[in-house]
Amino acid sequence: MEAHRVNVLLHAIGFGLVTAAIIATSAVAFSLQYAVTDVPNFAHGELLTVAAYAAYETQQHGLGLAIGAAAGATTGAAVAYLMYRLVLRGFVWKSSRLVYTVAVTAGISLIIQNGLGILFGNAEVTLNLPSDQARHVGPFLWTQTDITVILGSLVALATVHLTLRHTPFGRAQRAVADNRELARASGLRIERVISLTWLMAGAVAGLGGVALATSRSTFGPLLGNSFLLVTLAAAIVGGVGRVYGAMIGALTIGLVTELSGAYFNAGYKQVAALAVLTLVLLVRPSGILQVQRTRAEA
Amino acid sequence: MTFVGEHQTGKPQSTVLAVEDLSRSFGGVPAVDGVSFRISGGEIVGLIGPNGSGKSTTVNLVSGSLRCDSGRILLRGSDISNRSAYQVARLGLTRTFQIPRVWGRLTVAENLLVAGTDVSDESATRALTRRRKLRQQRGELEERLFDILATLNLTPLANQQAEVLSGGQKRLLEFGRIMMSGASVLVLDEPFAGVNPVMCRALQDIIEALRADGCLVLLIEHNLQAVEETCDRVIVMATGKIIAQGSLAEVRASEKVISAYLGQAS
Ligand SMILES: Nc1ncnc2c1ncn2[C@@H]1O[C@H](COP(=O)(O)OP(=O)(O)OP(=O)(O)O)[C@@H](O)[C@H]1O
Ligand SMILES: [Mg+2]
Repeated sequence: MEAHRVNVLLHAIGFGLVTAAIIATSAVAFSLQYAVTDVPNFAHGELLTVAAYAAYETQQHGLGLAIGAAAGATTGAAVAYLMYRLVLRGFVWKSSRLVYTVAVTAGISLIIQNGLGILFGNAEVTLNLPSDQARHVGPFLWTQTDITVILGSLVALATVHLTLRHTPFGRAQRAVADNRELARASGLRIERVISLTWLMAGAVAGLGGVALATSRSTFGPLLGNSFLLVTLAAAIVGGVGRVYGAMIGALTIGLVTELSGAYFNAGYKQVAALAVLTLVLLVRPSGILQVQRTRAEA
Repeated sequence: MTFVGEHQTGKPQSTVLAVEDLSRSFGGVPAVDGVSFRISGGEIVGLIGPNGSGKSTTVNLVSGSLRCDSGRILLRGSDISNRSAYQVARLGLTRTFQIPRVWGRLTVAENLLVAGTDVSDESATRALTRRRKLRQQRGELEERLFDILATLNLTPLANQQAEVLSGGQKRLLEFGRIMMSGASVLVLDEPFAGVNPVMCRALQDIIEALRADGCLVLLIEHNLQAVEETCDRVIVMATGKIIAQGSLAEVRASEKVISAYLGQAS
């Protein structure tokens, strides 16, 4: 009986880590893009969805999941980039009013959802996954796909980290996020940094979308949209626009949702995410990492 | 440092920065109203005047942060009036802000690197031998970074987040950014404000060294003693217009200047 309880717990934590990996990829992309470009992208979920469909489409052509992931990342990057260049750029420069950008991105979200519905039908499609047995990895029970998802996310997050911390472009990104006017006065090409950030965030979100699709295996045009809430929750719990916070936020939300799913009811997962979000907003309105900063300012 | 300012050899200087009939108003109220002046390479010019006389607005216009309503700004003979701030910066004109600005979430060293990187990045695109050039430039960049950190006594703080710096240290970091950027036209908005006398002396030395390197400096300052020590000549503004130019002693004797300052005090 005791052993069974421990198993349920470990099982849930194992699941939680897989979920956290997917949320982290999505939330880091959201936070990175928001921090640098100042646009809260309510069409973020659709970047995941188009990537999932790209992976599905490559599979229809008999290609493997690795190529599907690459296609997903490319599609996510391209859609994010076009979203910015064709639509958002005009709005962002003309008016910085938050409501407008929210309304416009929400509009883009609906357009993409409907577009995908027209292209692929509103019925769910199914990814073919290698049928593999869950096996024990340390204390956890993971399938090969789970392991790939975790490793893939780790690689994506490490790449984001290395870019931000150790390349001139990453420094420029952080400078633009930190103080845009100073960056401009210092001769940084803001426009280029922002365009490339959409590309980069789109690619990372795309990888998240493929990971999400593999974890669900069947999905429809609402795949990413249904994931926006947990993404936002993780990004906010970590402190909006804080890339590293988003990773911690994802871990929190991933574990809490899976544990609540295991102990209560799978239907409560989103509720659990919202509960954590509300709690964090009450206790530390600017995210769990924020406490040090406030102290420094005080 | 690399080359000695020509002014020291006594040769006549050519105009590097020229402002012609510059105007800008906010909601119909003129903040800068028909301002013209010329500054040569190697000169340090003070821009003084009562509060609200349009000094910072002039800086914003010259640096491309603000668009002018009319008039022209010429940098080495080419019109930069319609250039954006980043283009102006790339042409070698750098400014500081009345309230010091730093990238708080970047480290002190990173603040300097950002100020230095992008320019080398551009010349790298031009270079054919891209790789080697890039590596060489990165080496030079780091060397310059260590030099500047040492000059400014910021070495112990190199890896601190810039947001923890004191006001005076942020000023130093701003100077570091200027030095790193390799700009030759410096527009400084109250660089000595809120800085203790010792550090003020240090900043004055840095300005002097930059001039010796051939930089032109336009500096806004309320502390007339610092202006006297630092500047070759001054431009006095009041209510958006230039009311006097010349040596500090000359403008101090001017009726217009006295009444502008007294008018503010009363
Ligand atoms: N962005 C702006 N919007 C509206 N009015 C402005 C703006 N910037 C400056 N002004 C106005 O222009 C006038 C000149 O301001 P400016 O900041 O150039 O003065 P200043 O000479 O730098 O003064 P101080 O010595 O106090 O810094 C002021 O009346 C100010 O209110
Ligand atoms: Mg001012």
